[in-house]
Amino acid sequence: MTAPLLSVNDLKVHFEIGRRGLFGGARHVLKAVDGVSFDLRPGETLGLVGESGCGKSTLGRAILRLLPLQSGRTVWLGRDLARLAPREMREMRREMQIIFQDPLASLNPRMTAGEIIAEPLVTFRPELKRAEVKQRVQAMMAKVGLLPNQINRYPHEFSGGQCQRIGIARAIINEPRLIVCDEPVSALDVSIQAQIINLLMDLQAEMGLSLIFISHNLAVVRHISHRVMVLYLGKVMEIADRDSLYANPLHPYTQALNSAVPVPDPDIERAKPRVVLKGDLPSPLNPPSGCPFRTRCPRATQVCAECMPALERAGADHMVACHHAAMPDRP
Amino acid sequence: MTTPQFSAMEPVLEVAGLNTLFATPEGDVRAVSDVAFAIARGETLGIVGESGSGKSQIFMSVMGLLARNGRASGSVRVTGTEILNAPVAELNRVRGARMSMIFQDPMTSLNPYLTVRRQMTEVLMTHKGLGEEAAAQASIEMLERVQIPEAGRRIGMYPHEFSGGMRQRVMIAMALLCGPELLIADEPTTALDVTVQAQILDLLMQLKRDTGMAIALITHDLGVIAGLADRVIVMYGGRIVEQAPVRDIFRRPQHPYTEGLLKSMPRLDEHGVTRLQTIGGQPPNLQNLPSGCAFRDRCAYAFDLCAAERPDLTSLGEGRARACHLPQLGEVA
Amino acid sequence: MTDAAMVSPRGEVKGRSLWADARRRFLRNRAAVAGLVVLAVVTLLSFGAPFLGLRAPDDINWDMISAPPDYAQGYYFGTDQNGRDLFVRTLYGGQVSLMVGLVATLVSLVIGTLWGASAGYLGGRIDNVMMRIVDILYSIPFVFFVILLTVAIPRNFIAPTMLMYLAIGAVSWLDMARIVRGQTVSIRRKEFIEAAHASGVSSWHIITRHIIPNCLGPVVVYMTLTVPAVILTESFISYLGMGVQEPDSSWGTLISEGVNAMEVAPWAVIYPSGVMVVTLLALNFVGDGLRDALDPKDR
Repeated sequence: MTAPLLSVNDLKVHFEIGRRGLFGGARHVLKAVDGVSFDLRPGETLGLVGESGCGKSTLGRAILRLLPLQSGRTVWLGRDLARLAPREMREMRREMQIIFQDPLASLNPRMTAGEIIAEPLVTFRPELKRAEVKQRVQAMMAKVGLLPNQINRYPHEFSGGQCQRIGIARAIINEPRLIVCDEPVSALDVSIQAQIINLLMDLQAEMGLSLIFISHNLAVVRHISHRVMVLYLGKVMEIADRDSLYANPLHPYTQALNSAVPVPDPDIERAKPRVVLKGDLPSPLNPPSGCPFRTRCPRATQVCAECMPALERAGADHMVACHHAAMPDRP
Repeated sequence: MTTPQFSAMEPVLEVAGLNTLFATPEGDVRAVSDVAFAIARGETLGIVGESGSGKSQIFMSVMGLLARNGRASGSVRVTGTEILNAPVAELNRVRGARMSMIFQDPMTSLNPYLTVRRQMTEVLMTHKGLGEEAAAQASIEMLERVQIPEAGRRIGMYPHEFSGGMRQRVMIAMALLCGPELLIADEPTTALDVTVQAQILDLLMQLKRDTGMAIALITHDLGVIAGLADRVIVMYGGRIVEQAPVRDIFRRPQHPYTEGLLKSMPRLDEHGVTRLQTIGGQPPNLQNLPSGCAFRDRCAYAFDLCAAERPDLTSLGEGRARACHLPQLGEVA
Repeated sequence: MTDAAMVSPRGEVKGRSLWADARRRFLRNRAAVAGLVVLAVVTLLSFGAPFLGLRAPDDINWDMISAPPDYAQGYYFGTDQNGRDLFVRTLYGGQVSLMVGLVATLVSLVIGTLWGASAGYLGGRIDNVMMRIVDILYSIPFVFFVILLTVAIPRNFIAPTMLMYLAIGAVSWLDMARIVRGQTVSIRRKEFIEAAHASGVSSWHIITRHIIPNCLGPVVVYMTLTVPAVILTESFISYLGMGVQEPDSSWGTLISEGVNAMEVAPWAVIYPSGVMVVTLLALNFVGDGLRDALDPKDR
């Protein structure tokens, strides 16, 4: 097994919520990400799945150090990112990039597609001549499926799918090794989603990229990921290679998520057994004691309220955090 | 056109020759073109389409909720009464009472400054002439029916005090207050998390069974359609391109666009991962539709006739219709 | 407008920037364009008055005291109680009034934008302190502030007209700072800022390349609304007798004098106030046009 590209160890991101005016005020701590660990290998796609408030986007940003960490380590090829000086970290940013959910909002409306795509390039290679920058930008546009002659157009003149391609071109122009994809297809039409997913998979194969693919859509994550991590209220519930996670989900939350996704087939969809969870997600500001999922879990017992189960090995590449993971499926 | 199982009854909603235009500085934009369909009593009609397909604008026209620069022509009959462009007073007798609508974002139809109690009782007092106490009682019962725990206490709360899923339940409860014969649900679960979406879909299914009301379910998610709809209309570029009973849409789509949509979805039940099939190009720009068939520049099978002539929606029998020049397509494996 | 028409010789499609879009929408707005023309005419006449071969503003004609408009002799607006040409005085007064508008605009543009953008971008405690300073300045009643300045600073030290510029300038940037700060805070949370940050772009470039260009829309609109407000303020101060002093004139002093003689010489109040009203209306039309052009969603 190759050495990991990125190694995340007991990562915690906490936010202080509440007004902190000139004269102070009440404060709460939101544990958006609470003790997440994983390794990411070169060329691998890790899917992050979970519902709103599970901390998946926060985790993605914290890995890129776009957010301050509470504690924990993110080690990039042996170097602890948290220890880098701001200037060193800026240098590091050419290696790791991000793609956003809202394609239009992630592009500056006052800049042309060419300027947007060129920005990371000219930031790191200010010595490049204009003609050379332009030539590289146009090559990149062709690579992501945009017409190179559209270089002077503005974001609002493109459709959502095309804007997402601009965002992808911006992310890969410095040939990074890691791209965090934060819900990159959720805002797109169904027919366009497939185009973008295929593009990302092609680019990965061509450039040897590692991807962290954040999505609430289990079907999309299953399609693109090698390994999948399921998060709930900032904690890892289950992490496993794709096939064993979908074929044999061990955590009751993963099982519920799986059965909640509507299948586009009327016969299967109407006949399938459903685990409909009770209630809503608890507020992340005031999470339940012990296992955060216990308030909605069909298997919860006394022990679940008392302590958070540890993430334990349950297969070759399968870890699960549940006191009752061994229980038979769907009681 | 209705499916055999519902054909015996008079339709709840009958739309004919509906055209919706929006005046913009760049000229008129036609969001809905020559749309005709009917929804039978107790039937759930799924309306599928992507952004710009006109699927929502059909029902905004039906409800008389078009933006100020929009105007609709044609005919919309609710249980026999023509309501398109009817005076507001007349419209209000139908809206909320005989048909009501729920939206993707419940906050758009809930007033954030009023308690749920106030908003719900107001509906009952206007439409049904109930007294304050009776209205409150009926409202609480309705909240219980949509499975809101502690309805009696929660009715005094403000919309923002409910979670996303609960808010959607409140909106459904409000929509059902007067016992409408038709519920129009515009992307009712799109903004919700998967597990909460499953709850709301369950609720809608249960309500459909218990009340026998008709539902118009507008969505881009074919999975949601598969679970709930009896019949499906597929929209593209403001027109109906295919309509069929739900099984046929998924098993034997007859329009290349429907087929493409089905094949481009990653699925949880797929066996082994293959490359996704895609529909090339971009969603249609209503201001600049291609000549002939609006889908032709993204269609793998397009030929000369597709550019020259727009295919009409023609019946294929068995409650099916499509707008395509191709010979009939085969079965999806 | 077809795509083919916009292709440049090198085969590249020209983009339509948001500014070009806004210009197009603005030029289509007739009221706004008319307003712009009126403004240009008033400005040109006011500042070009010394070169038009007109009488001097303090020329006294003893034969024409409080005379009604007389086109034959070139007294288009009539004369005041001192026999001075009101048309000329109105034009020269326009210089002061328009200058006040210009000064206030520049001050609010420079100080207000910088102050607001810094507070919004730096955030946290710095933001808090900077904005509380604005709040404190805001809470001082303006007229009281002007009176204080006039009393505190001796007249031979600084001309009252300059003093007024100073007073108006000191206060006019407060609103702008608040507006720009609000804009900055909302833009700072946009994903394209995060994208730039993730690409290693420096803070300086984030501010100049991403934040400021996206703030400019509301800033430009607010500027056109500041000008009429400030012109009115100037007129008010001069009306109170604390602003422009004789023999100089501004629209405020002219109207103030005109009001005193209203019963015998109504033209002395009608014409200057007419010019002022027309100018303010024109400014408001331009502002409206800009707002619609820059923010088409709000219509």
